[in-house]
Amino acid sequence: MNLNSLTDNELLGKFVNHDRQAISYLYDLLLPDLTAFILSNSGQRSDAEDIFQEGLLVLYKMASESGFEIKYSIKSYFSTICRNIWFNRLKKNKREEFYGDWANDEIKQDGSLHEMLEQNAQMALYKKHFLLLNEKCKQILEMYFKGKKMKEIADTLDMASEGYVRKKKYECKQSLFDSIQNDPMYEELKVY
Amino acid sequence: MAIDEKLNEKLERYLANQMNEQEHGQFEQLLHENEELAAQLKMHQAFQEIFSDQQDQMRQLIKEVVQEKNEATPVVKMKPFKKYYYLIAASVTLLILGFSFLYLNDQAQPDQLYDDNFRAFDNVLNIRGADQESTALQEALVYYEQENYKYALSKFDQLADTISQYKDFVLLYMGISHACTSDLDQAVRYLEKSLSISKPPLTTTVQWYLALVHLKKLNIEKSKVYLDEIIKDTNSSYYAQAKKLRKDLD
Repeated sequence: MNLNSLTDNELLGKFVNHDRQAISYLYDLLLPDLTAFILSNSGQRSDAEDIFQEGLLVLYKMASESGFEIKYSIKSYFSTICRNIWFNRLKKNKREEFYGDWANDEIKQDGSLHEMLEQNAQMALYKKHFLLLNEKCKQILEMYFKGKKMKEIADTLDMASEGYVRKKKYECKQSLFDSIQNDPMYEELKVY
Repeated sequence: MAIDEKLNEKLERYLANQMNEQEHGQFEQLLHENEELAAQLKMHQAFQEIFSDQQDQMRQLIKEVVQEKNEATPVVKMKPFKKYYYLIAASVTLLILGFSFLYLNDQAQPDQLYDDNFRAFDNVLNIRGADQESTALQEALVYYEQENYKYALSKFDQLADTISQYKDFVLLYMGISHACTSDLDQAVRYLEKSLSISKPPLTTTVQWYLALVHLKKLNIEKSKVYLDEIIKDTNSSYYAQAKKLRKDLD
């Protein structure tokens, strides 16, 4: 099927429904400009692919929200999302070679997009601290957050009892949340 | 700051919708009063979202598609000496600058500025497919990345009129290849063609190279016109470089 003829709305619909062909098309459509931008802003080709994947996931989350209505072109959304992610990454690495702003003025006024970008920055912080946990904690919490029962976790991870899993899960979770809250970025990103 | 096990248990029951109406109301009241509890609820929900099946599947799908695309496209590594090329170029530039400082007049300044600013634009296209056009473009880009600009141009030439996709990029690479082989008139010709069909953000890139090529041709006023165009957009990727060069030209 030729995706060239689809409107942005139709294309986004296919993407949200996990259509592989739509993702492939978005790759061809969006990656060259993103790569050009990243290479002009202190990044490498591998950074561009990384940001592409992260940006597409944010676009997916945003477009999956109920009541989402497309206001700009996919290219505009994607460019804003990726610039923001890259800007935050440069800022985190204390690299200042960023030419340009993270979005045009019209998109900057878009509250829902802004909120989504802030949430994404928070998620990145949470994931960073999750990855710092020991392997056992990561396994227990991943299964727990996916909604697995204590018994299933105990059986899968070969742990002594459900009670022991519950205790370890509590310790791991508190350790994770403490670690997140002690990160200087946490206060900066906190939104209530 | 941790919450105790009992409160944690309540939080988990609340999230799992296992509370009766009264408990639910009391817990929501507690959430208003206890900032730490509210923060933990928010983090908990965030992790549930991170590990949700839908997101996991999409993350995996995107990863697979990117991998497929990469496998379909041979990745061309930069030649090892390329890193040293810049050092050599910088050394030569320094020697020329020193020599120029001693013996030459102000005419040398545009050349110096050109050398300081010109760097061939990286290949940003990731072409896949085995059809004739894709194969020819891949081949041209391989030569371009290897800085074999004459061969790259011979391959680009075969494509320039007929190519269905990325024509603006191809014309840009042709312009840069001509600039790299010191054929400045042809460089301007192809860059202008690219400019006439390119869309932002590529437009700024093309304007940047046009400014540089005109600088090299000593068409300083034309160079300034393109730089002024770039500077109009403060979001432009070339904004800082263009602004500095524009100042240097005054």
